[in-house]
Amino acid sequence: MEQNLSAALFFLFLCGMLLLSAPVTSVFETIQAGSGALPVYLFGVWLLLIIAAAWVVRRSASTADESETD
Amino acid sequence: MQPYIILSVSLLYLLILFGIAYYADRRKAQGRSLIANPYVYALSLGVYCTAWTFFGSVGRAAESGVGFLPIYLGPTLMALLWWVILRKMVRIAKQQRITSIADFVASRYGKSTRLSIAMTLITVIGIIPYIALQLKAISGTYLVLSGSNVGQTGILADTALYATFILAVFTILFGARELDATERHEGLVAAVAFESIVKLVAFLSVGIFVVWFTFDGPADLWQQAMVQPGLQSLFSFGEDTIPLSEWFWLTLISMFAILFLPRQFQVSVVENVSEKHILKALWLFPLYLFAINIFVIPIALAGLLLFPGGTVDADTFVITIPLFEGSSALALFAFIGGLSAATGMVIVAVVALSTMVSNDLVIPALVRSGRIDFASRADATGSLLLIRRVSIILILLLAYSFVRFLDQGYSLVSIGLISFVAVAQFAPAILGGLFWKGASRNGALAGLLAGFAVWLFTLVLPTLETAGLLGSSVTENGLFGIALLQPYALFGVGHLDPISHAAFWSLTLNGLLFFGISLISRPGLSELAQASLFVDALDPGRQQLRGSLRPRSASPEDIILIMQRFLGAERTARALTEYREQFGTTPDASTRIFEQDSFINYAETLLGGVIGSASASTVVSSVTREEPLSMEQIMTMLDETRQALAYSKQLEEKSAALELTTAELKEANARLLELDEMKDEFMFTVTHELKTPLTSIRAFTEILRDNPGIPAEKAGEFLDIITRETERLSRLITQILDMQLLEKGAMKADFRQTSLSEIARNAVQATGHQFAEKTQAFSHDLESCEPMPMLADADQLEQVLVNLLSNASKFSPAGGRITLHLGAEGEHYVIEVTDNGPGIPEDERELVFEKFSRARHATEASIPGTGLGLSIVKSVIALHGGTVRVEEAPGGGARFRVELPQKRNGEA
Repeated sequence: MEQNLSAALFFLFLCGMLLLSAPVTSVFETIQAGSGALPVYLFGVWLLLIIAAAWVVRRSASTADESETD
Repeated sequence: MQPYIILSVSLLYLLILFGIAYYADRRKAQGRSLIANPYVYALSLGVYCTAWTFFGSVGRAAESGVGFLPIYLGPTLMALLWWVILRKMVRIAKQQRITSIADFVASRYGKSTRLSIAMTLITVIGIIPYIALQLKAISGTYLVLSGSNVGQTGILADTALYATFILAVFTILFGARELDATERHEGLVAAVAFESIVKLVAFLSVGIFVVWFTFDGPADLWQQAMVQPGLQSLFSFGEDTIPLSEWFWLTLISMFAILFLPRQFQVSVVENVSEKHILKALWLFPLYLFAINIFVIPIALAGLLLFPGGTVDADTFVITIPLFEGSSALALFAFIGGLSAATGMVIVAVVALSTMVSNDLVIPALVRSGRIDFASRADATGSLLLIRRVSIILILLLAYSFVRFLDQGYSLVSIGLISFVAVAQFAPAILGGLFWKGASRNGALAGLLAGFAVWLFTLVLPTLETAGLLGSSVTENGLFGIALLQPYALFGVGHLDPISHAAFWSLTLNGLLFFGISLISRPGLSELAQASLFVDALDPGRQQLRGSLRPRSASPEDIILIMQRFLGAERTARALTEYREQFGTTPDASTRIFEQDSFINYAETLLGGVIGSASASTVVSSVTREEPLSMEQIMTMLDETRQALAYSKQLEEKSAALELTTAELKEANARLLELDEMKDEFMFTVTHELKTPLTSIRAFTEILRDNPGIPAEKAGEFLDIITRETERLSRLITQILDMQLLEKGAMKADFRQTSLSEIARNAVQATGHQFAEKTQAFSHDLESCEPMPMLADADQLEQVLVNLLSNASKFSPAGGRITLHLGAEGEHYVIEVTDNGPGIPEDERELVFEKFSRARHATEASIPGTGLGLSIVKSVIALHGGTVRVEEAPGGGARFRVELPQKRNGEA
């Protein structure tokens, strides 16, 4: 369970690195600033990462419980 | 607002805080910890959000849009790796009673005093600006709130100075009331968690007030802001706001900051109650960061709209907007929120730094200079506490001097970032040391010093210059007038902002030296032992036992004396009880060397918590001596090695035996398959053989039934055929039955005195017609034969000979030659039947005697037979105690040679 959990969290880390740094964020160098797309995007990705991490941790805890009761 | 209101509310708040800490400490003493749950742990990590976050983020957002965010996105990303990195650090710190980040690094590299001193100096110097930032924020917002003028004041009228003293008192109350070997402060953690709630609620209150009461919701605020020409361009990347390079470097150094800032190390590693709390904190803490940042942009936009033209410092928007809108109660609450953010940081950071200064700087220095008299029996715990308290006051005074003498109106964020870059220098030494055993002390030291030097040059030097403390202008002209040595454009790299520039050069140089020197230098024995303890921390089975190679010995009284000096009498007694419970023995003078060594290690680890691992190692080694390995120990080691070797050899043998068995099983299986095939072939042959006579019998009987008028002569002929075929059938069936009996071992031979040559003659008569039919030349030497008397079953032996002779006839071509030879050789009679047929290939010679087996060419040439004849021969001969084999005849063809004993076993 532990290795999979670490790997899943590392996967999220890579997703976060990808979505929150150049070159992906460089898209916003050209987008019209007044639309507010950049802060919405950043806070959105941020929240998604947190939810995903919570979900991964919770799922791994529940599978650990199952394997204990087995 | 009246200053006395602000002051009394602030003091009241601090007293409540202390009350919480006091209550948590009492609960701990009762064994009902208040902080042993993941939520308090996650909240205490919120000490990351200081006055920088509370006031500075808004200021930063007003200037660079989303530029404040990397400071929180970095920790969010790093939190995802906590389960791998932070858990390991927590495990190590608990195993080795590590109480500060300087101790952590020094321990990893063989308890190096030099490293612990370097780490402490870098940390203290690096964090001073950060503490200064908090003092500045407290006094600055106090001035705004009380409406005093912000101009330069005399030192005695400086609010920052009073804030410094009040904070010093509280820090001592929280963190240096007594000594604890684990350096865990439950009260402190509870207070910090409470402060995290206060600052979050305060900030959210201001945010809601601004968005929904000052403006008509977020949409209204956004629309009003976007009409302003300057504000539109805030929300994109670029030179005016935040370039992507700066975005990246800020994210990176914040990732390191959340792990390595001394106050984060204190709450996340030293104060950690359970590793499991990390699992929850790794998403709860980012969620906290998310919540406290959600209103930063709205407040910044509102401030820019309400105070156009930069008349109000954006760092104070959180207080000035409520004040401007006439809500002084909310402004006071916001001030308290900022105060809680600042005090939380200051108290935890200064406690962590004072631990470091006393354990990793002052005591090692005293120990080295010989100022601590080991022979003295005086209790040193008092002096240890004094060192802590003095260092707390000194650190705060240093921070105050920074505000007073160096600060030239920097924004809060830019001061804090200077500290971030300093702390990021720990990354190679710590991360490298956690996962790579080859990391060496020299590499770590060189990397740290180089990174620190670059930091001083690129960030601190320009600050000193701006403050007017340096005469010449190094920033413009470069060091010694060399253009390549400009602090903001080192080696000509000038397009980066100062923070990214400093982070890039310091971390690159640091990492290069760390890895480069580690690769070429060979770590010492103590370094290797510690490397294993750190790198394999999550896998205790692989950790090499510390000190087992170099047992130390000391008089236990000496060790206990040292413990009493630094831990106090009561705690020493408790530690000895714990040791007895853990190891089942009490140390005394008669203890054997290995056990003494374990006691010395135990004491050293315990002392490390109070005076740092490097000092503990020095102090303990002053009363111990390293034992050379005794003959007995060497023999024990050799014996262990020998046993291991023997065991591995046994394993090897077993695996060889297994291989052999496997091979045998494979062979047996192949044989079974072969036999199975033979059986199928036999079934086919037998049915075929049975069918041929049956067909002709049926055909002739039908002719006789359907043609009653058939001539008697013809009918007689038919009946003869029918009789012959019936005989053939019954012979076949008898053979099969015989075979089955032989197979079961149930057939009993009827042994009588008989003559072998007589038997042979009968057999020759019985088979003579077969040779005549195929015009084969048959010769034998029976006429000249002796009678050859023996005990045998004559019928069975005759059957053997008939089988051999008819076989020879069957397999020889028409006109072939077959000879039968009888003779006596020694104790045996020999019968040889030779033909000039195609012979039997060597690999089939054993096989032809098997039941159902027929030589390959026999099947191909469809020579009729059951495959039982030779099998019966073999069984019968075996029953008579003889042997049969087939050889190649001199002129080609096969020769069957039967040897029978002249006298049976047991026969007189």
